Amino acid sequence: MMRQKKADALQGTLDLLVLKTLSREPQHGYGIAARIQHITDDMLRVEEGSLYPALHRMEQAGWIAAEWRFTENRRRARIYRLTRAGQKRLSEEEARWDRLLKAVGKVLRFA
Amino acid sequence: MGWFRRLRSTILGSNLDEDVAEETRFHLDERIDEYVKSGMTYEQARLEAQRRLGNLALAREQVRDVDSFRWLGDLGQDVRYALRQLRRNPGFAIAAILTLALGIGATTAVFSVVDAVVLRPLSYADSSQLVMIDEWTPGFDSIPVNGLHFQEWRRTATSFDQIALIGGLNVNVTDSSEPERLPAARVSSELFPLLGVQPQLGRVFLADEEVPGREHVVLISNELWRRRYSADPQIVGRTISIDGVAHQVAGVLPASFHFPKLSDLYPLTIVQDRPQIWKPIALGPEEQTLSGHFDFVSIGRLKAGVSARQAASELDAVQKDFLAQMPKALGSDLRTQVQPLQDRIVGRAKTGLELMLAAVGVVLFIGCVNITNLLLARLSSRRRELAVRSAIGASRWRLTRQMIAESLTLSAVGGACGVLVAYDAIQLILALAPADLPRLDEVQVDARTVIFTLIISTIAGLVIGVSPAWQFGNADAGEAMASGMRSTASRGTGRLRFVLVSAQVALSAVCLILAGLLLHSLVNLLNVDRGFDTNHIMTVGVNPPISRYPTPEKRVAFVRTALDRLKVLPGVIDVAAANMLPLAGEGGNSALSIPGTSAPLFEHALGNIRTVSSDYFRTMGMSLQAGRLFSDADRERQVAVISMSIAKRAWPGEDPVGKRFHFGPRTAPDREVIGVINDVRGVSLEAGPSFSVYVPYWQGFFIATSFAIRTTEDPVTITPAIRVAIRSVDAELPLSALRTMEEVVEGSVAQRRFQTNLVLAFGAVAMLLASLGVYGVMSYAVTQRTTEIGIRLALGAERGAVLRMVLRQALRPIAAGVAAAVPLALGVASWLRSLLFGVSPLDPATITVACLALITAAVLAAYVPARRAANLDPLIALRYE
Repeated sequence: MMRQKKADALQGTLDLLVLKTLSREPQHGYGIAARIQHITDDMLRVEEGSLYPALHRMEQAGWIAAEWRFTENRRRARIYRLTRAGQKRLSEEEARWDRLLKAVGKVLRFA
Repeated sequence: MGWFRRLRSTILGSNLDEDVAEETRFHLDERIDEYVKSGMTYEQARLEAQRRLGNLALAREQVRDVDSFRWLGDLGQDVRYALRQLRRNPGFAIAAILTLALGIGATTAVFSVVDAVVLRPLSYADSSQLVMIDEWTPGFDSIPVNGLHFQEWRRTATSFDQIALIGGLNVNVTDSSEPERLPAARVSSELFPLLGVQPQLGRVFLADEEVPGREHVVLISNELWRRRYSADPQIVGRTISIDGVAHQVAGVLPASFHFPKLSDLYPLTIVQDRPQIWKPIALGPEEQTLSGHFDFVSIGRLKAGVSARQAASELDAVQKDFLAQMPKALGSDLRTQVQPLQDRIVGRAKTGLELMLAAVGVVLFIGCVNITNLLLARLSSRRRELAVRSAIGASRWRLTRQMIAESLTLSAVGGACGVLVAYDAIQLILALAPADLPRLDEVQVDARTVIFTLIISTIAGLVIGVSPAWQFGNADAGEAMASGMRSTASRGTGRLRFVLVSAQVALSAVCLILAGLLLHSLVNLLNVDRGFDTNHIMTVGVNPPISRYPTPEKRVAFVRTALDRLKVLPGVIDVAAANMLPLAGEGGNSALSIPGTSAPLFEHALGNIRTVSSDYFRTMGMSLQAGRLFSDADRERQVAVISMSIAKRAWPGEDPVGKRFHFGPRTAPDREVIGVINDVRGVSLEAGPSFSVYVPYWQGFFIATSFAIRTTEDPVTITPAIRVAIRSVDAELPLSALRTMEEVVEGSVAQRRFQTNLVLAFGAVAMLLASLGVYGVMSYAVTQRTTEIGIRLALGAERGAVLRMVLRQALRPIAAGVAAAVPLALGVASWLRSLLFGVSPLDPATITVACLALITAAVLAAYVPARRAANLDPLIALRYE
C-alpha cells in the first residue's frame, strides 16, 4: 500500500523518462539507464534498484514488452520496447509533466 | 502472454528469479565494461559496479512483489508449510486423513449409486423427452394401457414424435442347448427408433411385422447372444424355437442397451426381469377390445417443446371419444397420465437413496467436526507461533489463509485416498444391493464421481478449517504474547468446541432416530399379518409352453400329474399348485360385477384372480372364515373362494356364501361364492391385503404355474427330489429357481432391508464419531484444567465431586444436541413418510431409544476423561505447568 502511494510522485517521473527513452528505440535496462544519464549530462542518474522494479511493473501494466535478445557484443539481454498502450501512457505523462512545469514556472515567476 | 509466463514461472518455481538474475548479470557486465573502458582495473570495475547496483536481493524482492500471481506462490508456500505441520504431528495427520478418506470414500460411493440410479439421465438419445403413458380411471387410478387405445393414440396424437407399446411375457427357448425360461417383451416397431437404439447385428422390427402371422422374428439381448449362442456372428437369420414356434433371429441388440425391468415400469406385470428376447407385438383380436385387456406399457417421445401435460390433454380428447363409445355402464371417466420415464423408473427408489446419501453426508460432516476439534485443540498450543508470526508482520488474512491451506491440504490428501476407498465401497454396495434396485448395472466410477469427490473434499476442507481459521486470524497477538508459553485456550475456542460437539450429537441423534424408524418399519413389515405361512415351504415355477400344451386340459393334466409325483416324495406333507404364489407379482386382475347391480365396471371391486389346487389353502396355512373350500368333487361347478376383503367390499354386512358374481369375458358363466378365506398380503407386504378370488385350477385358465411344497424337514434338502419329480413329468420343461417361502418374503423386503442396514450402519458410525468428539473435547478440557483440578483436590475436594463436575460439563453440550435433534428428526421423518411402515414419524419409543443410546455412548465417552480428572495426583497436577 505504501508503495502505491509513492508511485504517484516519484515513479511517475521515472516512468516518463523510461517511456520516452523507449519511444526512440527498444533498449535493455542498462541502455535505458545509460541513455538517460548521457542525455542529461550526468544530471540524472537512474538507480538500478528502482529501474528494474519499475520496468517490471510497467511490463505488467502492459506499457512495455520485453524479450531476450543478443546485443552487438554477443550478450543475452532483456530488450524492452514501447507498446501501443505505453505510447498512450507516454503522451499522458508528457502532458502531465508539461502542466506541472507550467505550474511550477508560474510560481517561480509570480510568487 | 505476460500473465501466462508469470503463471508458469510461479507454478514451476524460480523461472522469474532466473530472468531477474540474468538481467542483473547483464547489467553488471555492461557496467563493468563501461568502467574498464574509463580506465579502471577489472577488479575495481567489478566492485564499483556491484556497489552501484546496490542491494541485489532487495531489488529482486521488489520485482517479485509486483508479480500479480504472488498469491499462488504463497499458496504453494502455505501448502508446503501445512505438509510440514502434518509431518510434525503424524498421529493427528493419520487420524484426520483416515477419517476423511473413509468419510469421503463412503460419500462418493453412495453418491455414485444415487447418481447412476436417480440423477443421471437414462442412457437413451435425448432421454428427457421420453415419457410413460398410463390410462387413468377414477376407480383404479392409473392402469396399464389398452392395445386398442394405443393404436388410436398412435394414429392421431401429434404431441409425440413416436409412441411405442410394450407387453411382457415369459418364454421358453428350446434349441440345441438346455431349454430355458426367459423374460421377454412384445414391442411395437417404434420402440427401438424411439429410444435411439441401433442393433449391433441385423435389423430392428418392421412396421408390418405387427401383423399377426408375420411376427415370428426376434431380437435378442447382447447378454443372451454371448451366453447362449457364444456370440455367434452368423446368428442373424438363424431359427430358434420360442414356446415351440420357430422364430427367425432378426438381430442382436448392443451391449450398451439397458432396458428397465418391466416391473420397474409397472408393478402389475408377470415379468420381473429385464427382457432378453424381443418380439414384434401382434395384437390378437381379443387384445383389441375397447374396454378390456389393460395389459401394456406405453412409452412415447414428446415432440420438442411439448410438455407432458399438453400431451396428456391431447390424449384425453381421444379417451373421451372412447368413453362415449363404451357402454355407459363401464365407467364415468377415462383419461391418461403422462409422466417422465425417468421419474417412473427411479421414483420408488429415490427417497431411500437420497436418505442414504444424506446419512453418509452426516457421517462425513461429523468426522470433519472431529478433525476441527483436534485442530482447535492444537491451535491453543500454537498460539505462541501465531503470536510471533503476527508480531513480525503477518497479516490476519495471511494467518487465516494459512489455517485454511492446512485444512484443505488435509482434505485433498483425504479425498485422494477417498477415491480409492470409494472404488471398493462401490463394489461392496453393489454386492449388498438388492436386485430390484433399478439401474444398478449403470453404477460406475467416472469423471462425474471424481468431480464430486473434488467438490466434497473442498467442502470438507472448508468445514474443517473455517472455524480454526477464524479463531486463528482473530486472535489478539498481544494477548497471546503476554500469555507467553502457557497454552491456555481462549474462551472463544472453548465455547466453539462445545457448540461443535452439540452439533455432532444432534446430527448423529437424527441419524439414529431415522435408522430406528426404518428398522422399526422393517420389523413391522416382517411381522405384519401376511395371512400365509412361510415355514418349511419350498416353491418352484414352471411355464408349460402353449405349443406342447395347447389346450387347458393338457395343462391341467400336467399340473395334476406333477402334484401326484410331488405328493409322494419322502418328507413332503402338502403340495399345492397356483398360477401365482404370494409375493410373486400382481398377476391377473379382473373387475368383478355382481348380477343385478348397475355400478359402472370401472368402479367395481377389482379381484386378483388366482387359480389354485384345493390343497393350496392348507399348504399355505390359510384359514377358512366361512363356508367351505372347493375340492375335486366340484369338478366343473363354477365355484370360488373369496378373501375377506372382497366379501366386505362386495357384500358389506351380508353373508357372501352362496352369492353369485361375474368376471372375465361376457360369455363366462357366473360364479358362486362357496367360502371366505382370510386376507393375504399377496402382492407386497406393504400394500394392504389383496382382493383375491380363488378358483379351481382344473377349470383351466392359467398358463404358468407354481408349486408350493410343505416339508417336515428343512425344505432345501429335498430340492433335488423336487427337480427330478417335475422332470419326470416333462424333461424339457425349464424350472425357475427353487426358493423357500422365507426367501420369497425376504426378497420382497430386500430393498428396504438394504436401506435400513446402510442407514443403521451410518447411524452407528455417526454415534461412534460423535462419542469420539465428546471424548476429545472433554479430554482436552480436563488437560486444560489440570492445575485447577489439582488445586481443588489439594484443598480437599472429593474425587466423586470432581468426577461429577467434569461429567456435568460434558452433559451440557450432549443435552443441547439431543434437544435440537428431536425437532430436526421429526422434520426429516415426515419427508421420509413414504419409507415408513406401521410407525409414525413421531414414534416416541424409537425416539427415546435412539436418544438414550446416544446419550449413553456420549456420557461413557466423557466418563473416561472425567475419571482421569478424579484420579489426578494433586502433587503432579500442581507441578504440571
